[in-house]
Amino acid sequence: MKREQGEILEAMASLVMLELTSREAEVLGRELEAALGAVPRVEGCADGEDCPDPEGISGNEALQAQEAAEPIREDSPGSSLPLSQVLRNAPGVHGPFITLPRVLE
Amino acid sequence: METWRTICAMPLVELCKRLGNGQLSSVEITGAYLASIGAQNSSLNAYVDVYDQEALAQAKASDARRRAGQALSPLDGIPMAVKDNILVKDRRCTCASRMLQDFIAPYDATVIGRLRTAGMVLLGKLNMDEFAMGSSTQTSLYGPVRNPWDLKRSAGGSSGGSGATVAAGMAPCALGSDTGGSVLQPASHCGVVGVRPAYGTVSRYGLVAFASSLDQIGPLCKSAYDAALVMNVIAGADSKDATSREDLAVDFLAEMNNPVSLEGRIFGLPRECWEPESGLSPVVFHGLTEALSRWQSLGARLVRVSLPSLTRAAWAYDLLSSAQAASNLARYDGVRYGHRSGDYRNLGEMYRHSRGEGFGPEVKRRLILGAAVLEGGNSPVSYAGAQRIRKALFREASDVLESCDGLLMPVVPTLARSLEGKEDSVPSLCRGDRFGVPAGLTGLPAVSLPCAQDRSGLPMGMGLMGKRENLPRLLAMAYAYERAFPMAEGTRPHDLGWKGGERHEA
Repeated sequence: MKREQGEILEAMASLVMLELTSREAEVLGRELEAALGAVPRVEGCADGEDCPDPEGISGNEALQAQEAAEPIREDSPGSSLPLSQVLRNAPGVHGPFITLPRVLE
Repeated sequence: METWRTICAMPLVELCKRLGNGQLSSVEITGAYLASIGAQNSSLNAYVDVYDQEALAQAKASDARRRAGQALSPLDGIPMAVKDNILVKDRRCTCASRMLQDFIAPYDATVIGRLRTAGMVLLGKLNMDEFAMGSSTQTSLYGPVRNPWDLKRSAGGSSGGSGATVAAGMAPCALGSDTGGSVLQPASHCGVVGVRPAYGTVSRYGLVAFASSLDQIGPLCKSAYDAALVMNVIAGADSKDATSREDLAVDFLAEMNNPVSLEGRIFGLPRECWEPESGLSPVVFHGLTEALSRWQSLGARLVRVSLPSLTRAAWAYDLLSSAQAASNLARYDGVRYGHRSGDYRNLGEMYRHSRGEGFGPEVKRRLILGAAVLEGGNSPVSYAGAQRIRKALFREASDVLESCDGLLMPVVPTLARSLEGKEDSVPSLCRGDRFGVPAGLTGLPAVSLPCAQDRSGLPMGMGLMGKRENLPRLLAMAYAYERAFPMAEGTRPHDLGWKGGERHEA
């Protein structure tokens, strides 16, 4: 694995809190490089070769596309869940509080 | 008396009919499916959990309701199974991952609640790729699902257990989840109908999240008619899923009961799917072009269209889904959810070791890529660039669908892959995904319909994609095709003896 590639992988693994074995680091390093190497194809829009011109979409069209892909409706504020219902799904309860498992022994 | 083989070969609509007229009871049907599972699951590896006692109890309760004239729905007493990333209260939900091997769901997913309200019987949970990341179930903790048509081949993925179960007659219908083709692709490989509803049609509350702007739950069934029956149960707005929409929850049977004709209907064939450089294998190209001629023989008009962004869709999908997965899967840190390592000296080590031990290689690959996408600043990978491709694809598909009734495209460029060969490289996998991802990226509905078989009988699906509100029409057009060209009797793995009359007359 190249030094720069190894540093990138190490930084990414740290971001997603993953401990990698040396074998995993080897394989994932290659795959990450392959994925990053393919980016120019994804970013072909910047190359100007046979690619759509999404920036040319009108404001309304862009909005419609966004809504279709992510059709989030307006928030409708309501009352909070009853405490009893919240606590019913908790892993552990102490009085009105949710308890979490002890992390550090 | 019907044997389990006969019962398990019947389509869902036939089972409904026989339940309704008293020819069969839910206990008989459920017992038949449990026998089928007992006989076949060790070969196929499709179920990860079977709820035999609870299923029989639900069946008895259903029969009692029917005797009292209080059936909850036409599907009351019909058994079904669900992918192991959908929560069933007090049952484990593992996502086929070591990370969640012992996780017990504290509540029912909304779709499970809807199935229960309709009186359906839950047979168990189905195998899948780990956290739905994969297209062959080879990333599953439990090992791959084998294809009922050829046990040496994959059933596809990530909902491979759902496809194999329906194809083998181990459930009359099943639920899967589709992020980038995970319902459509196994349906194609297993020769069953798979439906990816438009984004927002079915609530994802209680579906373990993979990529939230793409995930959608959909049914796999023996026919388009059966799929419409299930869609009528599971579709609908849900206050617990802000993306769900009531306007998409229509009567999916409405157009089935007044069958549409394909005469004069216009279908677009995206050139990016059908031309030689698309990567279609010769056998799939041959099989599906023969199927296209059958669509034409029913009066369909086929026109050439173009979706230029399709060539980049798989990579855009890979970047977007990985970024969203990196965010969604951050919750599995061994504190609140999932596996906790026994080997740590401080909190940071506990996080890293727990996640390193709990996740498999494919999940790790996507988390690393997702981090590279989200990290932004120093990374050449652009979330915004991928999102632009997504929007462009939506615009192109929407433009084409203004003048077409639907798009016809391959679901997968190859036959089901062998489980004995070496694993595919990442770019190869992306090429395999390219026809499965457009529905997910655009949020438009799609159906995978069995349309062809190779010489050895391996099935191939045709993808039918349409406007957001047109899933009922897509299912009706698929129904028109499958009525005219049903798969030959005796060639399906679940044709276990039933040769009964009209398949689709309820």
